[in-house]
Amino acid sequence: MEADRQREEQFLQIFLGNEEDLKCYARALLPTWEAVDDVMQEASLVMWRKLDQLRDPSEFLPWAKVIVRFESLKARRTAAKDRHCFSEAVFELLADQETEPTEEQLGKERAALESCLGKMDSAQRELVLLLYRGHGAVAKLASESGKPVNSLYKKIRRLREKLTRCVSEQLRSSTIRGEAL
Amino acid sequence: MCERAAEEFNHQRGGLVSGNERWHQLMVAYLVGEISKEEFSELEGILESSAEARELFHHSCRIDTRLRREAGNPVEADRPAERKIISVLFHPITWSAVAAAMVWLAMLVWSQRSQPQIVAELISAEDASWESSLPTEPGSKLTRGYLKLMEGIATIRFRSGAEMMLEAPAKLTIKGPMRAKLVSGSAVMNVPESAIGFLLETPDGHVVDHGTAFAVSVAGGKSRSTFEVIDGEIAVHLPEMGEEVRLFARQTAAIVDQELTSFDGPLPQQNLEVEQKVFRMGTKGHARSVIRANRDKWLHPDLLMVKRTDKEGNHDRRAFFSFDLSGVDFENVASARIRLNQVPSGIGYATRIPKVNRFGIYGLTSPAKVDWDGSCTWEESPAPEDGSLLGTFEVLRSRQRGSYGIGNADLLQFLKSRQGARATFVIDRLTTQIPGDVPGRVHAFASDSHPEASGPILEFILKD
Repeated sequence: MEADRQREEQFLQIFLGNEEDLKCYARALLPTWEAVDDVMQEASLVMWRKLDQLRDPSEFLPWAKVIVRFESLKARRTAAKDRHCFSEAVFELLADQETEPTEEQLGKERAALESCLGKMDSAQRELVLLLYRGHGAVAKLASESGKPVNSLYKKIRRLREKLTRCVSEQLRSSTIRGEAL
Repeated sequence: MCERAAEEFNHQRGGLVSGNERWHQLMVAYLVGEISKEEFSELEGILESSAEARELFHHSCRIDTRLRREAGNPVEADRPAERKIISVLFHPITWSAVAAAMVWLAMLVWSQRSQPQIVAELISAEDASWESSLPTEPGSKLTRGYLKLMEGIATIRFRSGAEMMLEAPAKLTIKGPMRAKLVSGSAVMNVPESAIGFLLETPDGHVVDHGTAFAVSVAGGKSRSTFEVIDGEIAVHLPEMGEEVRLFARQTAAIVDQELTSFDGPLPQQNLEVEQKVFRMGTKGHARSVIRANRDKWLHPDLLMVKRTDKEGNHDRRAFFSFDLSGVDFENVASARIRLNQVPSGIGYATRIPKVNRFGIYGLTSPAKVDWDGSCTWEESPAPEDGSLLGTFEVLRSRQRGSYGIGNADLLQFLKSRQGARATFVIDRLTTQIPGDVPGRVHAFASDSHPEASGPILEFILKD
């Protein structure tokens, strides 16, 4: 029993340590966050069941990615037709992820995002984050502020574009100068 | 259609997607769930054809994930994945039963790769030059991805055994051991028994191979694909119309503007399309260079030599050429351009000049020099100050050959001002060299007497 407990703790530790990377990976393969959450849930179960197959904990991430890929493919097949699901060819190309980012690169990305979010005023930041605050959050704000939902979505889209541009520019300039941000 | 959009897009950006505004818009539209059908197909097309785009897409997904976490969703207490695991852990009976049943699935998943799968190998390359994120040395293992063959011939063997000889210029997406897409260019496929069923897509339709050799050619951007069976049998499909035709040895088919036609023999000879009416003239020997030191032995009649240093060096050179415009009817001229062919000069070090070298072409307007006859010294010969700058072009220091030139409204206006007379041009290098004693490269363009390349050409594009 104690061994099981240890095993469970070990799994949770390693799973949670890699959860964000796996979510990023699943996000690239699936059209919505709902789909990503479902796949992550299924995939985490599969991982737990097959933990015996994992010989070395340092191999967890590539091993888990294979499972996420497999579960995403299943989800993609059963996904509603009206969703924008990538064709199998594009899915495979994205799932192959030819170049994995290095730790250094990920660090730079995090710093760039933080700095670009910092450049926005709090109202803009809140609008960008509103999309992730669950169904109806945008509609609720629209009705509260008396603005049409569509124009709010447009505004969010523009702000996101601005943020994406800012992050790429920061990353580019950090590469050109050859130093960390 | 997607691939065409992607190609055009890549072309506009010179293959660089990272700074592209449209690309950012498409990714954001997708990630915020506000993408239209057309935008989605454009996004897919770019993702399919560009490894750089895929990398940036993964990067954008990472941003999306972090923003979501920043927004606090899901919060720590509401982690569905974790909750469900724990609920399984507390049901040991379920767990052991499931574990036993799932062993086979584990094996299945394990047998899949965690590394990108090798689907083909580059067998040989004859004088090939590439633009590709995939490896391009002969013997390289290829994963799924996009290859652009700029020059030469390359042979690719798919893991299924299918072999493709690709002829430049060509663009190819490798999709798997049994599948590829020829976006543009020509290829000859050899499909052994092991690869029967190999599917080759083109932007216009696709062909399924039933054990044969066949040739395919795709005119990029012109909605035209042709298929010729050398031996065996293929099926050509036009998915949008639901049409299929089976072709046997020596039969051919063409898809033009989504219309499929087959022929019981060779394809009808195509007329070469003349896109523009062009009238060209040369300098007829009216071209030479001068050197500040006025030592003719440092010049060569085959070469129009150009060099500039910061400090009016003795070895600075510039060149001139002129065209006789008598007989040109400007009424019929829509636009004009000048072409120059760069050739190696054999003098100086390329590493002692900037990576990008800019050249200016001046039209001679000074009345004192305008009828210059080409036989004089540095001081007497026309200088850039004697004319006006009509346009510039850039030459990479790594390049020793290539075709360059200018074509704009200023050039046409200048030519019109010299109607019926001779128009003389000066070429000067606007950039200099890296300071120091080691001499920088002298650039050279062919004169009319050059044995390989043609001398300066003036082209008039005529009105329809």
